[in-house]
Amino acid sequence: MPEPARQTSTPRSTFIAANAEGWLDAHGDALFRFALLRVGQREIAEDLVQETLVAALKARDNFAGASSERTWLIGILKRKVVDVFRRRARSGGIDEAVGGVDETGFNQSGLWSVAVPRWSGSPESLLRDAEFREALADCMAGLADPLRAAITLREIDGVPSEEVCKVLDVTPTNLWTLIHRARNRLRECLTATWFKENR
Amino acid sequence: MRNPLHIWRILNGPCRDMTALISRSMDERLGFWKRCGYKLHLVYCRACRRYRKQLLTLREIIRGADSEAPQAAGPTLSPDARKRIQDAVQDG
Repeated sequence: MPEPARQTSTPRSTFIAANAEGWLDAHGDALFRFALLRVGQREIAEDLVQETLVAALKARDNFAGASSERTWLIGILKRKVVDVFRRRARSGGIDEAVGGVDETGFNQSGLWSVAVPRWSGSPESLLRDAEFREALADCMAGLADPLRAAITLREIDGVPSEEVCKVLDVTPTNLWTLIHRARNRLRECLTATWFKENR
Repeated sequence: MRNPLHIWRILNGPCRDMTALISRSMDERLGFWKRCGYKLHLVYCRACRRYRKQLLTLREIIRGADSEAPQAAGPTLSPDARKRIQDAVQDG
C-alpha cells in the first residue's frame, strides 16, 4: 500500500506573503473603493485597506470559506469603517451638521428660490456610465463627514436606524436630519455638476 | 383629533416643508394629514414633483454606487499605497 502523500510544508512566512499579495491583487481596489465611498479621503481609505489585510491575515483561520473571500474581507473592512465613523462622531462636527435651519434652495417664505431642472436617464443607465460614477463619487466625497456617514450606513449598508444612532451618537431626529441634508446636498451637487451638462 | 389650525398648516405648508415630508416619507410612514399634505401639494407643484422623483432616483443610485462598474472604472489604489500596504502586510 502506497504511503499517503506527505503534505509539502511551506514556510509560514511565504504562505502569509503569498496569501496577502493575492488578496491585495484580487481585492485591493474593490476594498479601496468601498472605503473611499464611505470615508471620503484617499489616505484614510488606503490605511483602512492596509488594516483590513493585516487583520485578515491574523484571523485567516476563522475564514471558513462559507462566504467568498471578497465578502469576508469586506466584512472586516466594514467594521473598521464604522470605527472611523465612531471616532469622528466623538470628535465633534455633528452639532454643526444638524444645527440651524437648512434653507438652501428656498426663499424666506419657504418657496423654491432655484429652478429644479429635470434629470434625464434611469438609475441603471446612469450607473453604467463611468463618468457619471465619477461625478457621483465627487459629490459623495464633498459631503460633510457626518452626512456621508449617515447616508452610507442607512442607504447602502442598510444598518438599522438605532444602530446608526449609536455609532454617530445622535438622536433619531438628528439622524433623519443628517440623511435629509445628505440627500439635498447630493441632489444639488449632481444637478449642478452632471444633469446641467447632460440634459 | 388634531386641532384644525394645525391641520391647515400641514396642508398649506410651503415647498420647503413639503420637501421635508417627501424625504421623510421615504424612511417612515407619515401620519394621515402629513401624507395628505404633500400628496395634495404634488398635484399642483411641478418643482416638488421633480424633487420627489429625483430623491427616488438618488436613492437607487446611492444603493448601486457600491456595485462594481461594468468597465471596472473608478478610483484605484495608487502604486505608492499598494507598495506600502504590501510591505506592511509582509511585516505582519
